[in-house]
Amino acid sequence: MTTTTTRPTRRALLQLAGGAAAGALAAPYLAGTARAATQIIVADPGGPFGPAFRKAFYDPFEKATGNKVVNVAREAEPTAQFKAMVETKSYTWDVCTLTLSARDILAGQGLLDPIGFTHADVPKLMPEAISPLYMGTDVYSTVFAYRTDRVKNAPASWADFFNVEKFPGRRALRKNPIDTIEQALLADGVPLDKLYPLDVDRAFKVLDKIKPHVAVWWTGGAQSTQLLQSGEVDMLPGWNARLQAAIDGGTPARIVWNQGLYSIEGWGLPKGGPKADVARQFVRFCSDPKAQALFTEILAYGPTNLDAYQTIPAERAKVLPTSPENLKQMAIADEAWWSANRAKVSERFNAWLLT
Amino acid sequence: MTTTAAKPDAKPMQAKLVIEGLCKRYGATTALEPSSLSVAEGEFLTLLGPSGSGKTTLLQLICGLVDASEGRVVIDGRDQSRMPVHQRDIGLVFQHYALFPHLTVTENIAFPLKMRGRPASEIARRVADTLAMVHLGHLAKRFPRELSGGQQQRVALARCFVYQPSIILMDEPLGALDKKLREHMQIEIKRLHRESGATIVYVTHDQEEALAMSDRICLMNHAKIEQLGTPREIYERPRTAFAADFIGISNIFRGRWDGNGSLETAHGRFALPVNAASPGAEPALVVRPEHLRLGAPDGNAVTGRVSEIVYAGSETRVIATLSDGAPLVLRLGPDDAVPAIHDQIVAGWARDRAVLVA
Amino acid sequence: MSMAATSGTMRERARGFRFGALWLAVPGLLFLAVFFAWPVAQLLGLSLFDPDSGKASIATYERIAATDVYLRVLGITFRIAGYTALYSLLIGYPLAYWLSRLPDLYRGRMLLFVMVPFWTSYLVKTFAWMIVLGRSGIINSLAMGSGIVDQPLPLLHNEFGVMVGMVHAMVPLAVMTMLPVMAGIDRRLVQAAQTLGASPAHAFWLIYFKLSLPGVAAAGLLVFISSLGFFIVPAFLGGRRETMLAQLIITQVQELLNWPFAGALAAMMLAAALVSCWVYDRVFGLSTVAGGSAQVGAGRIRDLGLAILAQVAKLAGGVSALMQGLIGRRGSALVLPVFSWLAIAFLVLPTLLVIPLAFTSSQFLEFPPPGYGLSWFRTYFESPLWIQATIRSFLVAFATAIAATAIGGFTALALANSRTRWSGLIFAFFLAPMIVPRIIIAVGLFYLFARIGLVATDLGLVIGHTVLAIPFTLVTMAAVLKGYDQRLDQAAATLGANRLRTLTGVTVPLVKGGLVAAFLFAFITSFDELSIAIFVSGGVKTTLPKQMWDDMILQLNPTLAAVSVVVFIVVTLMLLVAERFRSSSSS
Repeated sequence: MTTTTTRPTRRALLQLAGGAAAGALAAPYLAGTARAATQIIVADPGGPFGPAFRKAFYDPFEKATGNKVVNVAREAEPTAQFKAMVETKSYTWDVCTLTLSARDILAGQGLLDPIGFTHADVPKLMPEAISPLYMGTDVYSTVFAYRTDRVKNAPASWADFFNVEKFPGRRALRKNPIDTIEQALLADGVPLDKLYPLDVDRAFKVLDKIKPHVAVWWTGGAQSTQLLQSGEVDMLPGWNARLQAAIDGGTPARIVWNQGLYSIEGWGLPKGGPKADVARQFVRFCSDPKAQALFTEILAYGPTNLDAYQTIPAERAKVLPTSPENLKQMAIADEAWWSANRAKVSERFNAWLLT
Repeated sequence: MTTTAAKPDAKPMQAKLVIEGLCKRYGATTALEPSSLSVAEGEFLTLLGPSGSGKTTLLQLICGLVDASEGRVVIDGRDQSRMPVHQRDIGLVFQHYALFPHLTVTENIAFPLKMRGRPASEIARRVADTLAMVHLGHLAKRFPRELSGGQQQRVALARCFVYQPSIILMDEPLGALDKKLREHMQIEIKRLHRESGATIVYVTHDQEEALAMSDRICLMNHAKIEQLGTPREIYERPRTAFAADFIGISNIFRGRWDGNGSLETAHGRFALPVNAASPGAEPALVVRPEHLRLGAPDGNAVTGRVSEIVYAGSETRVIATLSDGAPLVLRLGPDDAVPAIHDQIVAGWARDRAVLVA
Repeated sequence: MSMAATSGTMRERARGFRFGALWLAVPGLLFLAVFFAWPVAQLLGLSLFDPDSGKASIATYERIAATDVYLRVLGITFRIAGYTALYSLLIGYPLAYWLSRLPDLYRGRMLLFVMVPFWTSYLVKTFAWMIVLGRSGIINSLAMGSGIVDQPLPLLHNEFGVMVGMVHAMVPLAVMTMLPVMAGIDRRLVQAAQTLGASPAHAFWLIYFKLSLPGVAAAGLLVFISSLGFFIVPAFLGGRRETMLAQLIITQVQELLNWPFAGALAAMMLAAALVSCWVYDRVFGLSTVAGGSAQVGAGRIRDLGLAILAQVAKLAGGVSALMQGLIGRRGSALVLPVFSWLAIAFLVLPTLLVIPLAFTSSQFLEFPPPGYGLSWFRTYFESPLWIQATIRSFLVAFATAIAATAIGGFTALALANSRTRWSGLIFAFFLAPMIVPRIIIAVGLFYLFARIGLVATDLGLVIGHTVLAIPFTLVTMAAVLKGYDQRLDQAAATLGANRLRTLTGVTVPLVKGGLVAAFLFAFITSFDELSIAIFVSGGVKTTLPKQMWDDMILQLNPTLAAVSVVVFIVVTLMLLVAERFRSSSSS
């Protein structure tokens, strides 16, 4: 791919004939500009991420470098597209946000390019947020929330959440073994720092007990917001920003940060991408603490560069996973364990659900 | 035509079917004006008329497929106006046969017997008998779509005759057949009528068929009964110009009654038949082609120019154009001299051969 | 005799025409071979190779066999699809029967109501049902408020919820499939049966119902097969046990990136779908899907069927007599219209619900809205993303409709004129995109498109949607052409029109109604399509359902409802225009 897309160069045409260029050629047309600067296509999760990242990263980056950033919404699970994109060398995206599990799957299949800088370059970055192939931009946390209008006896831990006698109320769980297994073990008394490797058998024994009391098994983030907001259930686990959205919208509910498990979302580059240089420059730009502080104004996710809290108002910091107060109650989920065991545990979990 | 049932001119011995003031309206349109009619036991009555004249409506009212707006249907002395279709003892042969495509010939014919809960042995026997009657025994296992039009028609007839309904209605049953087959089936139906002694109400728009088959004809037009009578009565004594025109070929001369014994027409003044009743508001003289003779025997004559000569074996039809452009049809016997095309001719008739219509 | 001579040459000409006619199916065959059969075969082929070594392996199938979870999910998938088909028929049959007896003009309008779920995005419908059926949803609020129940009814997150969502989505398809068959039944046959002494119940069951069975079977098959691939409805409306195979396939493809295993699961699903089709073909004949006449079954089965129908008729006769005794003749006559209006209300309800939601002042899709405003419409109209997606969806759907109608029409023409033993096979091949779950087609196409540069192009979307729409257009056109008098074409040919002139001057105007229907079918198929859009759009060329999906995953807000209302208005206008077009062509 040539860096300028305004002139139909011979090479571009050849590639078009080869079929690799169509997406990238179409993009500047979409954006309606024809500047002779490099334009990168960035896949973010869409929704509120679009305006938040635009304000925090895209516009400042454009201003600082003169390059152009076109953002598109990626899938909830972009790995399939990512894989086909690299395997067919048809780069519709130059950078894409990935969860840690997506990172590990893609890295395992050799589909990621190095980001070109290390933890030493950005020492205030959380160490879990950076690897040779990846830089995390935001931290999300799996916690639980309860309706304050319906649950009078406030639960404070997973043990409380799993105790249906002492803490009555309709419950939902995620229809996925990830997080759910951890939650069961935490409820059974496994300490937060000794979760991994997960004792799956023990977890299922705990889950067996709560199974009849689970009214809803949710599958999507937006669904968890809806469940809490509409009062379909009284307490449920979910990603903090999704639950926060309901609370911000006036739902009488409270988030319990205690024993939360956090994870990270961040940038990865498709292997062999044509604009890797600018893309790396962009990823590096996103490690800036001031930039990260900006997105927290819109998104209730935590910055990975903890210096960002110097500019984040204290009131806002309370609802962000990486604020010191919240972070110390939580632990990071072990993606490596899940990468190795997910297929098997998922199979068992699915079978368990059906019985 | 020989019939073992009612003689054409005989008074109905016992009314099988009586229709009293039967009428059907759909909103503002009238499908049938209030009409009354009586059909004798064993009679073959034909409802004849152009399409839209109300004959099919009358038929549907009789069998109960359509609910009447007013009036009564009396069968065997019992008012059946409110009786549902399937409880009236009536058979209906449909225009397009309405054979059940998913049933075999045998099953089609057995259907009405099954509906009446007859024992299997009786069903088998009667179906076989009826199949033999319509000469279809060899096709018993076929499906309707595997049969020719004539065969399908005979299955439809068999399905109707098999349960011996007291009245059989036929809605243009031969309309879809070609001429030769039609004529064959006409004879077939007459035979079935004769053998079964059933009372048949037959609908057709084909006047030749009506004349050939009926004991009586009920001529319909504009949703009402125009004239009711034997074929001979209707042919020889049409009551209206429509009746004269619809049945057979007629030369019709409209005119003004001079208050005496003549009619003033565009072609001259013609003497009325001797016993004619007083003419109505729009009187006309009807002269059948076979009653016209070349020459002017009685003073009733018109002049025209020969425009067409049609040779039809037993007769020759001469078509002439009158002075005002109207056609005139003459029928010449085998011994008559035939004029040439473009010949000027004078054709006349005996005054009593003409019929005065309203 | 001259007759014999004429018919001899006619036969020769017909044979020549036949040979020529089959060529009309070639473009469609090639299109489907390249953009459907090849990509799907490739994806399924992945399941037979080890991804690391590249050697042939049946490890994926061994994994399926090692646990019963996949077979059980397959069983659940079949059960849900089967019940969906059953309930869709139970609701759709009386509705279609009622519609078929309406006067033409009135029926056209009623059909618009029946089609409402079709042009309401199923994402939006699903959420509407959550609002209706939820614990504090509309039904429970009404039931609790009026004191009928003191506990909320469990209507959601269980099999009942899934059934409501799926049956709601499928009833229009069932009705649209049965309606042409019912319209083709000669009503005089029922009258004939009655004059022969059959009670109304007997006449209906023994004659009308029996003759409408091909339509019932075709509708059942289409609904069943389409239901196999559902994943959104069970995910949002179902509970713990309502997991369908498509959900597992999507997880394997999108989350776990285990394409060989996804291919194996897809192969299992496809095999199961093909077996159902094969059974169907044995019993009814596949051509009945396009309204062909059913095979006449073998003697004993047929007798048994007729005997069963006779018993049903007897029973129904008793029931209707009882009902007439209870509510009178007039009341009984109202049962069908009342049922049909209730069914229509069921179909229209979620869409009607969306309208107030679009004008809500709340941040959430809650009912009743706490206040009203236009802010979500402003959000929609001010968002270039939404507007671009809307325009693209319309353009892509339009192009898809033209392409699919042309291919479907030509193929139907080819099959109508040909009586070779191949035509059944060709017909089955053209129906295959309906049988293969969409997600499989989508992934396969994505793989193919990526290599030829069609990812993230409008053309790619059009091609993908055309693949999905072809079965619908073919079925619609085949049904219309079956009733088309071929002699009219021959007449035109004898009057000096060449093939093209015959087509444009005679055939097309006469089958215009069918063309409009096929066009609309294809249009709506494309307009509401998500799977292909997810994979092929690459996030760049976003269509409306894709944009809604992104929204639904991330930030469920009433923009969805506002968009639905706008789309609803535009599509309604379009359908009204089409209806006018169609009625003007028939008069």
